[in-house]
Amino acid sequence: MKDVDREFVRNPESLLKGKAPAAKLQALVRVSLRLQQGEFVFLTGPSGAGKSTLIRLILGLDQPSGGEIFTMGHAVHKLNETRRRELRRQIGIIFQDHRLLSTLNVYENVELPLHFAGLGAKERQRRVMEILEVVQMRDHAGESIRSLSAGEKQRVGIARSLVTCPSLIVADEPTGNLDPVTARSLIRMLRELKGHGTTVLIATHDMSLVRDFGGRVLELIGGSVPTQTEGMRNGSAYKVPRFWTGADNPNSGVDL
Amino acid sequence: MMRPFSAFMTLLAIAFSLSLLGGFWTVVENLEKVRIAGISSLPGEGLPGLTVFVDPKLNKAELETFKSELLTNPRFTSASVVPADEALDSLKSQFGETLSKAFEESSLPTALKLQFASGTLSRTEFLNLLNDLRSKPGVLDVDEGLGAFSPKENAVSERVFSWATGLLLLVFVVVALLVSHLIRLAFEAIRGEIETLKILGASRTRIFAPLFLEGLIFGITGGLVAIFFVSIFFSYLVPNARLFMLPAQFEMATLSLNASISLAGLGILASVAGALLTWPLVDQPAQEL
Repeated sequence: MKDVDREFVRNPESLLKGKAPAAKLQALVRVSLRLQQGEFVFLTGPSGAGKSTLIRLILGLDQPSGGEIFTMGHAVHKLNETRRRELRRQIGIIFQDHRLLSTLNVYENVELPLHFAGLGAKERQRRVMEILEVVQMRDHAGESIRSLSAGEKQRVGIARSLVTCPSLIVADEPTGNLDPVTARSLIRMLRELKGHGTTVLIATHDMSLVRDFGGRVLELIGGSVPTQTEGMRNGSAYKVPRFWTGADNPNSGVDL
Repeated sequence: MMRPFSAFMTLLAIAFSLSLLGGFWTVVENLEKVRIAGISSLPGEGLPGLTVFVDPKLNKAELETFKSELLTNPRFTSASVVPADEALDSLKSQFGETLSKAFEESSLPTALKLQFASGTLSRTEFLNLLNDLRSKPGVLDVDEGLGAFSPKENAVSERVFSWATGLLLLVFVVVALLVSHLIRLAFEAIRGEIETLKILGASRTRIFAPLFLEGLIFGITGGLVAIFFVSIFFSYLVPNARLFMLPAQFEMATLSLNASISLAGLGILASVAGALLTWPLVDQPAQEL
């Protein structure tokens, strides 16, 4: 990401009506940053600092007002909508509100990205069951999303983001609805993925998480990134799925 | 995929809209049936009928053959020959001796009185039947009874039917728009889920195909339910309740095959249109995160 600006018009209706010039909001100001493959990065900052805007730009959900954005080698700012959707299929996205489809059950929700990726039924089943095992939701595979607690929903959401073995995971406030113990366990699991070459970017305003875990910390203040620090490390109770390590060897699961 | 309650309510609304159209269509068909019954029967006769004037040169055997040929048409139940002399006697009894002298016995054609079988006859079918009869060899003319009504009555009848047909077309368009927008609104309710699919990278086709299929199922099911409702209403409820206070001998037309096909077709077309209206929702870039 190089010299990225993102400017919003506060009152776009006034432009249409030809009234007084609309006020502009500078969400990001000449932001430049580079994430290395396998890096574990926290993106922090107060509400309104531009965290979500930055994530939207990385995912190709928004267009910068200026500058260049490269995600996994693709110039996102130049891609059309079809190519952007193709790119997002290769990224694991974790939402604060999990964004699960309530008309599908746990299994079907996790299976969705594999459908988009065009995987066969057997492979889909294998991966879904394994990732559900990892997030300790295998017993809930056939259950409706409505019957799950907030923490369980978030675990399903995380399973959905990991099931395609993405090389980049982007999480926007993933622990917002979780209790501290579950939140820490899941962050630990995400952190350990970097050992398999996966880049993880987590936007959060929970500074206790940032303090407790290792990795680079990017702090957004007023739409720019003035500071970068290093966090601490910890262990996790979850295992990285076997298909992630590229082998079906039962011993290849890594204790986290 | 839509939630069950939302899907049920949408389906009910579609079926109700199409039922209204089907009901109105059937009322218009019955109106036409009443009109045809009126113009095709002479006053005083119970059932509608036609009078066919045939060439007086036909002998009795030829006349019988012609009569048998006409009765092969299931539209008619009976045909009775009125010879020229009987016709003259009838004229004398109606208009008196003096006036009837204007007709010479030899100038009067032989007449065949045809009685319609009970059932529905559309305006087009009725006019086709008249043309068919008039084109048969030996037929001089067919009296469809239009003379029984004054030109003013005919004009009023024509106008009522034209207005009813116009209104039917209007209702058709309104129902088509209503159904298509109902489907679009139903999909608007799952906008959040569509946005999620877009963020996760689902292609347009992958999002649109199930929406399209679901819309199509709504249209087909809604059409079938509407056909069922209207058929039940006109074949059982209306005759038993005598809602329109029609004479006992008038057999009410129920939803015709044409109307049923049109209703189902409209359901499908409107649902396809409704599904297509959701395309911008699928096509535009994801708005939320």
